[in-house]
Amino acid sequence: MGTMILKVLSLRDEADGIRAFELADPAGGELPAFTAGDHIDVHTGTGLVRQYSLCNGPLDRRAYVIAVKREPMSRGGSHWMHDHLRQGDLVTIGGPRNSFPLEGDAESALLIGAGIGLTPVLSMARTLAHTGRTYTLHCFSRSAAHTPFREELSAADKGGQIFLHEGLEIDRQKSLLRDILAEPGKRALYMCGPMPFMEQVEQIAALAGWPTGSIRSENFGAAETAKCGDRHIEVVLASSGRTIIVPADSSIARTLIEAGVNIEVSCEQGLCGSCLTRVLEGTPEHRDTFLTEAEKADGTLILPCVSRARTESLVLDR
Amino acid sequence: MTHVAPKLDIELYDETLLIDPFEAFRRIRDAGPAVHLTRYGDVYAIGRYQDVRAALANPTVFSSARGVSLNPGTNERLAGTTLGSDDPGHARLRSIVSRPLAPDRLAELRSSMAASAEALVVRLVEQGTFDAVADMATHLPLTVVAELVGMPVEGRDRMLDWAAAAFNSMGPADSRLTIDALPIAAEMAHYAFDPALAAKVAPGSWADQLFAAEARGEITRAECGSLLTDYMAPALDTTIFAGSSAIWLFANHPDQWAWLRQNPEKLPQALNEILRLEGPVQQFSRYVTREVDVGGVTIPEGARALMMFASANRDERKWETPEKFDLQRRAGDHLAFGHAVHTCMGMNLAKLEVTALLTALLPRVERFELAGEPRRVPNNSLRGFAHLPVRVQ
Ligand code: HEM
Ligand code: FES
Repeated sequence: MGTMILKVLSLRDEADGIRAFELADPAGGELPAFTAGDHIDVHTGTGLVRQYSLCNGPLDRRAYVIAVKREPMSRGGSHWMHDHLRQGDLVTIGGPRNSFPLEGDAESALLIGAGIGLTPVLSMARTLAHTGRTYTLHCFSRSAAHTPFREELSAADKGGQIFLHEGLEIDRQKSLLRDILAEPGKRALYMCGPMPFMEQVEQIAALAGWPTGSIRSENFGAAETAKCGDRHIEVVLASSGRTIIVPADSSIARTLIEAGVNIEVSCEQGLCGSCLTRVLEGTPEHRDTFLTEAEKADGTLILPCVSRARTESLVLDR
Repeated sequence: MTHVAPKLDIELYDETLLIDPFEAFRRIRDAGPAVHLTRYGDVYAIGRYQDVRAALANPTVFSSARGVSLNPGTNERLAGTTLGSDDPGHARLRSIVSRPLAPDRLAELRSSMAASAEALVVRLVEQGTFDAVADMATHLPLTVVAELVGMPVEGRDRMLDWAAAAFNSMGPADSRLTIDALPIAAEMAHYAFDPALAAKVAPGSWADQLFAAEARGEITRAECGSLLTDYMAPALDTTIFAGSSAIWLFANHPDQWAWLRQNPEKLPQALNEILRLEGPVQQFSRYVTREVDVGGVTIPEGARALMMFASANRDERKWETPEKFDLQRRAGDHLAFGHAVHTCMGMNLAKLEVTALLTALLPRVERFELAGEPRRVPNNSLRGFAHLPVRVQ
């Protein structure tokens, strides 16, 4: 599970701002096995390590296929992937690892993916198809141009039902989700997408009577800061009034350090409490294991090395 | 393309080098991202900030489960400690050991610690001349370990020897310091594993809570013994050295002390700079589970990789004028407490202790002066003073 060096076999623009990379053994050998929902760590040339879900099916050991969305606010990983990585280049990767497993006994699954979050569920769909199980896959995106792997998705004979929902109004999307989630608990539900979308699904599912914990969603865990569906955050420093944009693929703490703000970090995993910061405005989304549940609920403290925001901006006591 | 690691023949664990290692650290950093220290067999030193940090964040390749020392005896002793394990087992042990070190529990200690530091400092300032190690920096850590960990009195007497030995025993097998330390470290382990101990520790103490966790079946008796050493070994010399090294830095840089007296709210920032330059823990090792590329050079599977915390903290690639003691520097991301999953568990406690001491000194001491020749302790993993005679005004 350490690192290996792979070659970019091919790259292809799959949708607006989304580029797919096929990474293969330079010597042409088979790659280590993986399972649906696995991700790999890509060591980008910026020094940042980024996690990307694998989107091909696990039977395909010829290459790892990842899809990378260019984050407009990013200065880091995704830009490097788009701007610097070319066919034939070598790149160091770690993994594959799984934080989003497909449970072995799911006879039939309900898969929901939105935007770039389609990548892990697509791999799950492929696995289910290979193993003779059934699935229904709902793909949400802003428009046809924003749907990755659209050609494949619309092709027939996928071993399951695939629905594309492109450019829906918010109310239409909600009522559709209510229909999709109308039969709670009947099938295993897996989803991945931007944070607000996942929250919406969770809310509707809860109202429809899905037991809490029955929904499996992509979560890279405390060890990594990037999570499928993260968006950029506006951070305002109370002492100076300065506004700093934290890109989707960097932590609040790292971005502030790079901007010259004095902030302490040690573990950068939400474990040690070094970076503890007071929140003056906005609502944190806690991802640490340091604060108590009561402190998390209170919302006046944040560990910016891992945690993000539910609101678009946060005012921090820095 | 990755390359064979450059080789250096440096006696990193030679006693004179242990006292003054920074030139050797620089040679290692300049030689490459990972450097084969041929003198010690399969040991690869990682000395640059970015590479140390990245390796610490990659515990599947840089594993702690076969110990973090350079000799088999100590690595065996470390089995079952938090320090010497990998996730997921490590996370389970850590969640138990770290309970009393949680911030809400520590907050309860703040005022008593401040009072204790103040009483001590008032007395020493009156005295005028004292040993900043024995008379001052030792006080809080020893009180903490004795009272909070809850060791019975007969165990307390040996505690300082055990702690020093635990760190010395991390060295290479043929080092005199290692050889002398092994039996003393073994004595500590023996004490921690003594079945009679459970009945003797102070009720409600950290040790008592471990025995309670054992009684509830959360950990085994063997784990309980190992976890006791997680409290006993790293809580003394580390913090004692941090406190006394701070005084040494201020004695040599009176302007910095004056600045801090004017800006006492900058104490947390100052503490980072102190730990960056004079971090007590110099390096620990990892077992390399598979061949790995570090900054373009290869470390082979089965090697030992040295995580050089103290070298990283002086890496000119990361820090501007790294040798300079500058309290206004933003040193918040130093590696003196490590990084990632094994980040020091006692960090907040150690900071609380050193902060209490410096807070008591700030209003009472205008300047520190050396009142004799300071003497450093050679130790295979630590940096600090045995004696530091100072005079205060
Ligand atoms: C200034 C004082 C201290 C310094 C510089 C320091 C330094 C460190 C370092 C560098 C590590 C990382 C080891 C590694 O990565 O292999 C560590 C781990 C650890 N420290 Fe400290 N330490 C200090 C004080 C303390 C205190 C007071 C305690 C106990 C109450 C403590 C308990 C521990 C434990 C249990 C670990 C292992 C954590 C784990 O493996 O998850 N330390 N310390
Ligand atoms: S740096 Fe450790 S919790 Fe943020």
